[in-house]
Amino acid sequence: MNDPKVVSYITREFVPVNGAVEMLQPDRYGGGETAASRWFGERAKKAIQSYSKQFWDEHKTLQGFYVLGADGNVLMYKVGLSYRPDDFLDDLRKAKTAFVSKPPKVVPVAPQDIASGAPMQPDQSTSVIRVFSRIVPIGQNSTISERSIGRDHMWIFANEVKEIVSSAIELNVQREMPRTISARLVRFQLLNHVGNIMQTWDENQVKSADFKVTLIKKAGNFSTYNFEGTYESSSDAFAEHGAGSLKGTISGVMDIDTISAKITRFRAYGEAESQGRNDSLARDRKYPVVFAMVEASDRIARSTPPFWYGVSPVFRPSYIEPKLACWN
Amino acid sequence: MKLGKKAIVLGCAVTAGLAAAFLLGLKDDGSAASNRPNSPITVTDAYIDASGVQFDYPRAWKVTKHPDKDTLVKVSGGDGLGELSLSQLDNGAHLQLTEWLKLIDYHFFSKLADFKEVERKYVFIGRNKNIPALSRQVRFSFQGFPVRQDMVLIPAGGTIYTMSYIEPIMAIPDGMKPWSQALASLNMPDQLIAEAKKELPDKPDSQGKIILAEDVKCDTVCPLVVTQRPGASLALEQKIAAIVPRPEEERWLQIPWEPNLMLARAQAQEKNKPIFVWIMDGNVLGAT
Repeated sequence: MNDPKVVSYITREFVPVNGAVEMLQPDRYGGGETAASRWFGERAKKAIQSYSKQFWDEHKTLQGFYVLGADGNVLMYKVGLSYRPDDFLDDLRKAKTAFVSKPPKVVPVAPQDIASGAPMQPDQSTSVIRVFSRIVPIGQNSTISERSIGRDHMWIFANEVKEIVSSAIELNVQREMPRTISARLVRFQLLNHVGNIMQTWDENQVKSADFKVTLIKKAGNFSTYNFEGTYESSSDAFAEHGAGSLKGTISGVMDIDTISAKITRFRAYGEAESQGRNDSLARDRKYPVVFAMVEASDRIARSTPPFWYGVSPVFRPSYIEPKLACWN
Repeated sequence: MKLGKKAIVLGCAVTAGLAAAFLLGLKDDGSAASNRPNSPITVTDAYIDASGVQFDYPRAWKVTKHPDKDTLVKVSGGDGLGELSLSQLDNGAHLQLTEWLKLIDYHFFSKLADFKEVERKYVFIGRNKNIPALSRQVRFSFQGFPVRQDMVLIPAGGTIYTMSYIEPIMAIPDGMKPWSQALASLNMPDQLIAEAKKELPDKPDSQGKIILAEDVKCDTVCPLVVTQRPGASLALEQKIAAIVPRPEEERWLQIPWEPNLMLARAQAQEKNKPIFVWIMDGNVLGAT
């Protein structure tokens, strides 16, 4: 997908859609169906079942790559890709040829259906941060998964930004970071998503989380804060997702517009050691992980929710107001 | 999020099961080397399957027929050192052999320490050197033991025959003899060979060598390999710059992705274009 020829071909010849499971297969993780998910799900399931009924029976997942006409005729379905871009291009070209040779019927799309397909977006007042993770250092015999980049978004809400502004008011005096931010970082964001998603920690699995914020500069409406934190989480073999651990530190700086209560700049770097709870990494291995966090306000950032917020409604309340048992 | 937690997809159960059974049987007390038979493995028996597939194996080895639903036979050395198996997998989905390997790697091998694909190539095997197959050798570590697995995949219509051999890597001259004997003695009914020839190149194609992960240019497939952490003395921005993706690692983000599938349907009709959907657990533009 990263090959320039593939990028160019998809851009030129298709209308490309980034499908989120919470939008197109919401019932997979407890969400409610929409017009978009009903329309897509019916067609995708048929395509998968004709590809391999056994695969569908075993996994019941719509994950994959599809080419389809606006009338719903599926022209291509792939669940895995060859590492050779030319193979993927061949598949795309065949699908395009099939489309051209039998153009789809025109089927009006109702405005309410379009509205139902709108992506999950944060409130305008919410600040969005991009979170990257890598395994560093990495050995020469590393797997493709281990060499991947973990990505996610983090939401910081306006009320939390206001809490920073109202609590850290003296220059160079350290204050506790708002607990919901600290808890969200540790439970939902500072996770080793390299190669696959790392499972979130529940509130009892976080053993310690100590985050501080310090006002270091004030200029008109804008205030600059340093922050730093240490954290540790662990689970045993009997936990739902098995044994695992993650222990690390992070530090950074943020600028806040105190009038809009938005973060205008956020930069952080962290180092950690993680083990387990990621299906694409060796279960018993301790991985050295690094994190980088950067503010983001582009279209993708504003239309792609944090993973543990978006994937299922089950996690949303605790994402918004996370708690930690170690603080009780 | 990638495909579920189950480490078995279709016939991946076979490879995973084979390797797992072997690994569980592997002694970790260092006694394996001292238990290895001293005599050359030259006395063989022939295994002949009901489908007509046959190969030779060391007579002293233990034969287990149909140990699971996909494995036709498993033959293992008395000391648990080597294990040879023949399986027949349902390929009603007509997956390409490279797609099978990708699924097997994803669900099983990528989780093993020090996993590396050493070689992959198309070959002719068999008694008459007329059976085309995709051959692969991988290595990995298990409890400190370096292990080697060789496998050949032979497509045959809606079926794939796989033969594989797994053994700890030890400095023993004839360590791989059971495997080379099995490959050299393999025979299949003409009809199955004809099916295989339909699906694989007529000749081993060195031009079409599969690009190994290690060979892939980082700017097209693999993310940048960052070999060491940013130094402690670097400024924050420098540390972050060392970790965030390079533009060449994010070309796919230049695609004008539309998050609203129903809006995309309307656009597709307007532009007379097909829709390309990439869906993963999570959001492909976020965490997956």
